[in-house]
Order: sequence, then structure tokens, then C-alpha cells
Amino acid sequence: MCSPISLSPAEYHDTLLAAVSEVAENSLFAFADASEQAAFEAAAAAPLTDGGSDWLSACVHFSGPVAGRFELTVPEPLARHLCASFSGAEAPDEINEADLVDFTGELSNMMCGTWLTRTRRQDAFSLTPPAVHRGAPQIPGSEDAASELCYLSIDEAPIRLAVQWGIAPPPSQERADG
Amino acid sequence: MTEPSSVNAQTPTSLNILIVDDSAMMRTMIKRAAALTGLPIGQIYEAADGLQALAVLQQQHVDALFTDINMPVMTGIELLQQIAGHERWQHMVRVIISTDGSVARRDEADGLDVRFYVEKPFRPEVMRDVLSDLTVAR
Repeated sequence: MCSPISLSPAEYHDTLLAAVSEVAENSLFAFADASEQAAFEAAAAAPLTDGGSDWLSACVHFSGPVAGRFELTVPEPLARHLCASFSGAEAPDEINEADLVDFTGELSNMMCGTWLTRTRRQDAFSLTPPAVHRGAPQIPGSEDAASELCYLSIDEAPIRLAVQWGIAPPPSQERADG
Repeated sequence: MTEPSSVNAQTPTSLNILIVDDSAMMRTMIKRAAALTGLPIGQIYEAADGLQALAVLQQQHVDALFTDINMPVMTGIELLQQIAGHERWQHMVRVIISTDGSVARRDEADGLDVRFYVEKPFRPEVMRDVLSDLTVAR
């Protein structure tokens, strides 16, 4: 699938890493780095009873000169850890479910918005409110709109970003203005 | 619009602020950053979208408005357009805090009396610099 944002695969990966690093360092006191699909899949395959973790996925749709869907998938312990840093909570266990979901959505919003601004500085985009769900990581996309996947880590825990192009926002989430 | 400058040592007066963002955690983070500045903050009001913000503005005295752009129901740009030109809010300082720092969006904010445009993610020190500038300017 050809990306409407003219980047090579390496540039695509680097710009996403740069955006995630900016979010991690500026707002979360955390460190982002490149990672590999195998590390993510190994973590995702670990049984919950063997120390594996539940997962959260947060998706935002963007529209502007180009439209698409941006999804962040993150293990719950990392989401709790980052949420505590963000909110100033004493410990990750203090975070309630509503705040965890809200934060994970806002995290995807910041990553997507930062990435779009850095790659398309001249263009304004509207972002839909994030939709967050729990569950084992799935590969988003179909033959009509394949996902471009990027595997990174934050504080050494694996995360995955998935971008699909040409996906319009659900009608209920469309806005006339950003 | 200007970028926030460094902290000024003059004696400030307290500010009533309104934080408008559809993320409760982001509102919490902004409140925490404001508290960490050590500057005198009066009342802190919150709203989850532009329409809620308008209701607060109708009922409360607000010195500084901090608004996101991308929100459901009423966006930050629509909120700023609604209050533009009204004498009641003539002296209220407008600050945008958004992930969208594009040239096109900044151009859209021009003419809406936006004093600062802060891009998310931001370091807490940025909030200190913004609030410091606002308090000493009053």
C-alpha cells in the first residue's frame, strides 16, 4: 500500500519513533526506542497466568488533506506506569480504569497529532476522540486498507503503532472543524 | 501569538483559569503543571468541550482560557470564534494547547486573540512560563 505521506519505509519508521520519543520525553519522563516485531509478538503471546499482561488499544481517525486511522497497542502495565508519570499518581496501582482508558486514548492522540504535525507541517488535521478497547493485540486492516506497522518500545516495554490510509472517520465522530 | 518567555520576577496577581480538554487526564496534567509553578492561581474551572466552556464562561469570571482544539461537540476553534469580539471576555487571555501545531491551524487561530500556542506534548516548565507571563502582565 502506498502511503499518501511520501516517506520511505525507513523514514516512516524514523518519523514515528521521533514523534513517540517527543511524547515520551516531554510528558511522560520515559524513553522510547526502536524495537522488533518478534519482541512484541513474544510479549503478546505470553499467557496472562504466566506473568503476561492484558493489552490496551487506542485508535484515532484523522482527516485533512489525507485521511486515515492511527492505532496504538500497549501492554497494560506500561500504560499504568506512564499514566502515573503523566498524572503525578504515587503508584500505578492507584490508577482507576476510567483514568487508564482516558490516558491511553490521550496518548494515542498525542502520538498521532505529533507525528502528523512533524510530517505535514503545513496541513491541519482533525482527529476524532480516541476509541479504546482491551484485548489481545490484533492485526488491524484488510486487503482494501492494509496497515503499516511500526514496532517500538517505551521504557523497554514493546508497543505497536498501526497506520491505515484512506479510512474515513465513523459518521458519528466526524467534525466540521478541527 | 507569542511563545512563552522565561519567568519574570515581578509580583503577580492570582488568575482564575478555565481548562478545556476532552481528556480528563490531560486536564489533570495541566492543573498539576499549573500548581507546580508556585504562582498564585485562583479558581480552576474545567470543561470537556467548547459548549461546556461557554456555559462556565457565562457564569464565572475567568482570566485565562486554556483550550484544546480537537474536541467533540464544539472544537476549540469554534469556542474562540464564539467569544471573539464580546466585550465581556475582551481581557481574557486565550491559550491554545493542542497536538496540532500545523501552520494551517496556527493561521486559523490568528485573528482570534490567541496569546500563546502551546503544542502537546509539553514540558511542565512551559506552563510555568505561560502563567508567569500572564500574571505579571495583569
